[in-house]
Amino acid sequence: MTWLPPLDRLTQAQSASVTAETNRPLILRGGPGSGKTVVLLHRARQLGLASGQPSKIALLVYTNVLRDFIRSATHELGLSEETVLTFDHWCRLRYVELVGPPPVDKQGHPDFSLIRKGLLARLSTGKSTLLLDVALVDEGQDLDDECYALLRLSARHVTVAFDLKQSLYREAGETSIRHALGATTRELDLQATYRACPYVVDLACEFIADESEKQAFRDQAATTQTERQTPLLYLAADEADERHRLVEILRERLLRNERVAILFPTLPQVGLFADFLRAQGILADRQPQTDQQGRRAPLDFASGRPAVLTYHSAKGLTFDSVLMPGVTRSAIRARHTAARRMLFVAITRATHWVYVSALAKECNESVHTSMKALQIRRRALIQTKSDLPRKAPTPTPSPRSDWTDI
Amino acid sequence: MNPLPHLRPPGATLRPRLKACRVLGIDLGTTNSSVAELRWSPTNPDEITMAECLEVAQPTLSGEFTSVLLPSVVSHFSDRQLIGEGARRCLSRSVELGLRPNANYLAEAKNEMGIGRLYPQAKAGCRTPAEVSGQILRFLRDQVKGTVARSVVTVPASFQISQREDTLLAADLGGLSLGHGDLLDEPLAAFLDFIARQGQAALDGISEETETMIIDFGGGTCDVAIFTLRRQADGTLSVSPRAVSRYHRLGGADIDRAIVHTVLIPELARQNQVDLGDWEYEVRKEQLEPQLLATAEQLKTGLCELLAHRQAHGADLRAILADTVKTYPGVQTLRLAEGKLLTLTTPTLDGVRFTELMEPFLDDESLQAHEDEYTLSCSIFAPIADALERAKLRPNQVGFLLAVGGSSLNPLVIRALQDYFGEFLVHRFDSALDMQVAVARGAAYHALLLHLYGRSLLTPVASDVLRLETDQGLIEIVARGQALPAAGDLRPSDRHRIVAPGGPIRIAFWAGFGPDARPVFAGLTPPIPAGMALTLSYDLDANQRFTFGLTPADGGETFEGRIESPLHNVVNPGKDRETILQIERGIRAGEIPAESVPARLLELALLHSKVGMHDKAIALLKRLIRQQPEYRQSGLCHLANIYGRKGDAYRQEKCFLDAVIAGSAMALLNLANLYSRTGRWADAEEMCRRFEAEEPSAIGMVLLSRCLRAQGRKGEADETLDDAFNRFGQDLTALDDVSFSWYRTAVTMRDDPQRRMQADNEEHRRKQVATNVPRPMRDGELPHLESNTDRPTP
Repeated sequence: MTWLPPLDRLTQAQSASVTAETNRPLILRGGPGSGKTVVLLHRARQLGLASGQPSKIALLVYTNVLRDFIRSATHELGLSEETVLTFDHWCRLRYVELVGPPPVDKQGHPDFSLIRKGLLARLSTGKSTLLLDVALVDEGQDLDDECYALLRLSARHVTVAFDLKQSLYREAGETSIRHALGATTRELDLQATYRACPYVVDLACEFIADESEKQAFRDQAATTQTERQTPLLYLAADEADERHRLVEILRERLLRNERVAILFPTLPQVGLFADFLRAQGILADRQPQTDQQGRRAPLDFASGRPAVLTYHSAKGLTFDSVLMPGVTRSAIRARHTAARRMLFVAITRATHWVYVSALAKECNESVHTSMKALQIRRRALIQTKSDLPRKAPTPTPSPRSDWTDI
Repeated sequence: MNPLPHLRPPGATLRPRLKACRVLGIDLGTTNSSVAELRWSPTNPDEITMAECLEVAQPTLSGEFTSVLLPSVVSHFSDRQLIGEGARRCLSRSVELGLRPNANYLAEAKNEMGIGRLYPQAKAGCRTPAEVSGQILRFLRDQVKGTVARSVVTVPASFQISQREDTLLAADLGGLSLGHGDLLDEPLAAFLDFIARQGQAALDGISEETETMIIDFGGGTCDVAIFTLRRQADGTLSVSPRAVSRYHRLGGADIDRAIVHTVLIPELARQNQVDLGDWEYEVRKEQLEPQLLATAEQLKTGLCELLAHRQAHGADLRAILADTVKTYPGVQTLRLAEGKLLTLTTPTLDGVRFTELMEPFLDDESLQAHEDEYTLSCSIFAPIADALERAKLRPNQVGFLLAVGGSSLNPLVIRALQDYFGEFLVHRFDSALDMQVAVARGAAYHALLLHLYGRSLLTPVASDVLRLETDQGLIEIVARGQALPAAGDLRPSDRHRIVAPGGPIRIAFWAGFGPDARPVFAGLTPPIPAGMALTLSYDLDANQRFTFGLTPADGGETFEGRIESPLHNVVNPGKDRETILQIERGIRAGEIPAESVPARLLELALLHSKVGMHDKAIALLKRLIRQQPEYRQSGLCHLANIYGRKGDAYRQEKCFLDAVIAGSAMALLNLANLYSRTGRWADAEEMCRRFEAEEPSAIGMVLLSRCLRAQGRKGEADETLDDAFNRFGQDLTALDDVSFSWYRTAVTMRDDPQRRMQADNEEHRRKQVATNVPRPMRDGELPHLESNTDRPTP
């Protein structure tokens, strides 16, 4: 609920992007935490106010979780939640409107690929009026050329925000997006505004393979924060120890009023851990699974409860602290480029602090090595059970014979 | 931006041979402390950067935490010492980690500076507030490697000499060497930083003479300082303190405690199906409160952030209170000392509840401190009204108001101030962080100015005239507006001399003119031969401490005295609380002889009850009764009365009955009174008769008469009342207050106009005596002034 800063607190680059002209397509480039989503939301509101037709403005994203996340801030701006939609859902609505009942796959779920193709074909006839005044796209690197073609035919103006380092779903090329949007596209950089704790930047850098890219990422880091805490890798003795420590850490962060995400590599882990947390008396919002009808309950990001998500679904989201248990060799194969990118995405969800844990004997090597290197520079801490205070001695009963304890 | 041009005292020149240097400003706070640094170099003498607080790395159990704020907390467990954030975070796990306040968890030591508090159960090196503060100062000092040219530590404007001396001691223990000029009042520090940040704009609103109010509403205290800011002809700003009002136990932590005791503990009892009354004082205050404080603070700051955030998006505060809710999204397990576990599931705090809870803190009409068992809440308008009254100002005469301190992040506080003073008068720093570090930064500017120019931008001046009383009237010692420090000698001269009148001399100093003149010192010297010329040497230092010595010309012994802040007004309410602390300290430290302990303990219990801490009083009395059989009778009666004050009639009666069994006659009378108040007349009569059999008295007769009358036995009742009047006797002045109040009851019952008149006269006399403030002493003779100039006006 508090992640969206008001308009007058935006940086110059962000404000300029909010009010940029709509006479040609706009690309917003920025690393994690540079405020792409913030700019898009404010832009949606400003353009809606200017045109007087807020219903003809849509903010489109790729995942349901990101949609829920952005929706959690819409009421701050007086925007309708319906302004924020997943791209596929938006296509389906338009398909129903213009073509008819949507095609389904063998399981009876909507076949989004067919829907997109069908809608594109319909729009290409040029018979229908523009569906949207403005389409704003977040995490644009996850959409393909077909999507962009659809957008160009549907909206008078398109703004796309993206960061190539975070592409998890496809290898989108920058040129291909630019090509899809047309030659007149204007580009703005939000990169100088990356706001996160320098320790998080350091840790994230460990997972950027390309040296020049790494340097560029480091250079963007301009932080105004004065509070920070070294990332922590906890090497657990056993599973019970790992969970116990995680709960301890979680409580500590919640008492600091932080927005917390607990991220796992796979969906089954999410379910198991959310159940465990409930048993521990911590209410967490877990990433919902899609039911037989392809429906799922929305996630409430305004609740203040910690969110339990997969790395993938956390894309585009921002939290104060990110807790990443179960970083084992088997869960994340170290040298795999995609795996490193996944870790990068997960780590950069945090603006304040990152906690990583694994069983000591199964810890992912690249994570372990990175943390060790950072620990030498006092920019991370590795801990085991023996570093923690043992159960306190039962408090000495106060002496009742004298009055020194009044 | 270079703040030096705004800060440099006009006309000031650099002291000779200055080298490149570094100075520190330290804000030693009740809740958080911080250190700011400034550097200066002779190669660029007219330029400095803005003072910045140093980032302080603090070990925690989950990694190194770095922040400019260092929580003023020290804790010890498992052979380790944690200072700052690491220590503070352990609070919510206090039972698990075996942390006990004032033993191995030391917080808010600043509130106990200068009153001789000891922590006998703490580790060596942390057994006094000065030692604890010394640990914190050392931690901050160690952030800087290398030499420091000058350090300034801030103190509340209202700190008295003993508290300032404790601060100097803490600085010494912390490895800082400070002189008296190196303690700076917090409001002045905040104001200096405001000037540095805002530049000329900060001073635009300040005309030639502006009444300035600084409200520092921090974690543990609320300080209100009013000073007159004058722009001198040379451009310097002079500062004359008008009034300072400091309220202890009025800060963010008190709001947290109010949340604990009015929201969380009742909720905890409800969720665990416990009758709230079953938890005694020790359980609530000593066991539950420490474990719940962190949760309370989390809910409070979280809610304030949400409110402030929505306000920033343009929402109206009043409109969003109802639907802004902060929830702790989990179950907290709490342990009682006996080992029992309790759970508190998803406690919440919403804007409406919070507003209700904040009401006593923000009430601008009822300024009385509102105390109950566990919390003391007092309106921030109490120190404000108090300071205004002492400065003889109306709210609309204040020309500039600056709110600092962590609690000024609370939107409800700011709204209340804006409603009271007007929206545009209330200034704040731009960001939440600035509000919390302004004092340390201001101290750094002050340190640098002192180091470079030998003086600061804000020159303290005497806010009023200070005069000595002589047989010829009052003679001026320090003039109003005179720059401080002001020191000098009043030696015998051609123009005037002070001469001993013979015998002991009455020394009286007065502050203020005309009807405002008030005595600030009265003392008696040893006898001095008549006609002896006297020299008065005096010193009013920058910390507003006045010291003087009166020396006879024959070189005889000097009579010395000292007055703290004679010229401005400081209130430090809670005399009873200080007495409590003193007695506790005496008993803990073993300074009170064992045989006097029970009596002092009884006093302590009654004081606790007096300040509203009934449960603590009950706990003390129970122990006293258990361990000291001779206190059983009186202890049970006091216990019963305290239960009565709490509205627990059942326990009240039970205690009186126990006291009767223990042989207390007074308990019979008390029981009779209790029964009569609930209409149990027959029972009351029986108790009266039993009391009469043991201890015949007039009071018993009055009560008996009332019981008889209530049962329709008028004849008997009248006879009994006659008997009572006989026993009271004719001389009303001989009756103690309790007896006299019963006498009045009897007069009302009899409806006798003559007796009523006598009683009214007596009551009037008693009130006169009570309000008759003793005049300054009358012993001795005033010093004789021989003057060749015009006689000073009295």
